[in-house]
Amino acid sequence: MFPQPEAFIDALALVFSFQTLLWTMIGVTIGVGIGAIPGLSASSGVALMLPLSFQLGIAPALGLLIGIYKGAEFGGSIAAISFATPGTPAAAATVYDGYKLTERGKGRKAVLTALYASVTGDTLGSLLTIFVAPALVLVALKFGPSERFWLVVLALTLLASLGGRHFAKGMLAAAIGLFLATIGTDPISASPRMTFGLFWLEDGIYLPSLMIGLFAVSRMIEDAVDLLKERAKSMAQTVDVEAFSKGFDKNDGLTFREFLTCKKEVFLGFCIGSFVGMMPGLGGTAAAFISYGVAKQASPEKKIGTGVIEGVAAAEAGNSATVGPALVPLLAFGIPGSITAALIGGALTYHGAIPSPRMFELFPHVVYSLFLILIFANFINLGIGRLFAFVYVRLAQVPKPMLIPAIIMIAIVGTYSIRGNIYDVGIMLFFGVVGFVLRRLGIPDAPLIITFLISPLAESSLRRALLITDYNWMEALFDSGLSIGLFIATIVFSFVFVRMRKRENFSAD
Amino acid sequence: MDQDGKPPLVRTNRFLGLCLILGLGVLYVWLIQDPNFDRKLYDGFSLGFFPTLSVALMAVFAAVLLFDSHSGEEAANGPLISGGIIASVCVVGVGGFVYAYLLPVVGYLILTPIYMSGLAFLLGMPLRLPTIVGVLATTLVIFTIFWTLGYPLPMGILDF
Repeated sequence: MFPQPEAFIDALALVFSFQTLLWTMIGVTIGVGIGAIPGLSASSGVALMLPLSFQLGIAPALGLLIGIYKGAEFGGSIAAISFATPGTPAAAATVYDGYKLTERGKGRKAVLTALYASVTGDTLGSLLTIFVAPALVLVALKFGPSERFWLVVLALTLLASLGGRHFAKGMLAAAIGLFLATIGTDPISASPRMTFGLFWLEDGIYLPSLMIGLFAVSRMIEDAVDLLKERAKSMAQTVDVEAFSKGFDKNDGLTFREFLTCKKEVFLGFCIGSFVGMMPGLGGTAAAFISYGVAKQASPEKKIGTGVIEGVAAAEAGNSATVGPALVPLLAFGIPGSITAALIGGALTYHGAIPSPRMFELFPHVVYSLFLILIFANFINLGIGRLFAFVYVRLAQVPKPMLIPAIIMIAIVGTYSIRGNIYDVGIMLFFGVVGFVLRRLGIPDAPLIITFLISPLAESSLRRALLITDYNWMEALFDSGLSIGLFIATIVFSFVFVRMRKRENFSAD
Repeated sequence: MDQDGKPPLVRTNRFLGLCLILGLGVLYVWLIQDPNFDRKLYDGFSLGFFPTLSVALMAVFAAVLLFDSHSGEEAANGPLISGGIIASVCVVGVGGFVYAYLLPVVGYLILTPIYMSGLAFLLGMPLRLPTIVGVLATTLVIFTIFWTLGYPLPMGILDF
């Protein structure tokens, strides 16, 4: 059982190897760039690099993907501060104060504040993950099949409720994910199921194809639609060099004392971001806005919102502090708390370390490697951000007509290279179109992908519970106080969130 | 929009729900045509049980769209069918599939710059020197990364 010191030593050797350090640096470098480019996000970047990660060892793969995740959370602030356009949705709250600082010639100070707040919030969140996840595992190990089934149902309910303003569309997305997960092979009897007579569906829908299609290709289709509508404007796209230069004074750095004035906001961001990160369906965007709002209320004398570094610090610490805690439900229960956590879970599964409570017992060196990477990737993020943040500002100006072909090419080549199977590319492009349609209809993608990943767990838990209880449904579903409690929590949360949404709609009217 | 500022019925969530229910009905009828659909497994479930459950859940939530507080709102935040959308799907989807199909035949190093330049041009990027250089640089960087990892990309007609 954890902590297993010899596994920690193995992990040190794995993580502090040249390959892992190199791929973590590459991940952070790519991640900051992806975050800096409006229209892409951490999940798009991680999805695109997923096929590449399959070709690495487990520690370098984790370094690459977690590096991208962390880099993108900071990188989103670069475009937000420079151009008032958030590079990622999670950086939207940074625009309010960040861009005002740029307009006053203090853009450099704002970017450095974002970097230090992001790294601090992320490091504190990662430390919390290291303490909380093993503690939760002790609880999770007491879960039997019926408890695991209701936990999955509760997680999906939270996801659908919290992840968007329309509960029915959220649950519809979850049901679509459940449908897609039934394609392939029956988990108990191994018989082909829902393959529509197509042999290449017998292994199920290939996860990288689904992820890359939904998160990367669909966004590129959306951008292509916008570009084709505004073709003339895209050809005239230029950098306003004068405005950019005015906003970034090379002599306007950030002193340590100035950063210390943001300590309250950074701490608030860490607390809120960590809590929000552990809740399925909320994510960095919600954390950033909640942190920003709370910081504004807590310190009215600082005039957050008028262009002060404390506003930038609160938003960035909030969104970055979700990174580590989003992995907590994945590690403890095998249930990803965010899309990016789901992608990292997919990579772990591919490498044989299936996320579950038993992962701590069966693959302790992988768990330790993950913890070590969560911490030291922040230092790499700090270094790369400090040295190259102002280079990335230029990257955000890459014209979309150049970016879209590059991303689609990487998506196709990456997907094709894993198995050399043209059908994988076909599935990816199909889900690219599906993802575009879903986004247009306001149907969120997070419940779909997370249900796709965890519904096999729910199905096998339910069927196992029924086998154990000789097909007594009541006993299978409600055999302990914990399962009854989880069932009641599901009903209560559904009711509460529906009422909350009704009140929000009533107020809006 | 009508006189009350509400969208026409065909653009509402209500109509979306209706279309989904009809579509799911067709899907279910198609699924039960599979001869293995009712096949009983050793644990008592039929092979079609969980697919049926998922279709039923989709239908339930599609039905909720008919009646909930958002049923009268616009279903989509933009057009679902337009010239631009069809063009994008053809360019990205069909074009991408053709690119993947020809990749082992023509080879990555030859096909990729052609594909990327063509796509950039269709999206409005003039084919000047910076564009060509960017395309070639991206092609070579991705080739180098995969080659370094020990997974060389198809060389096609350059494979001699």
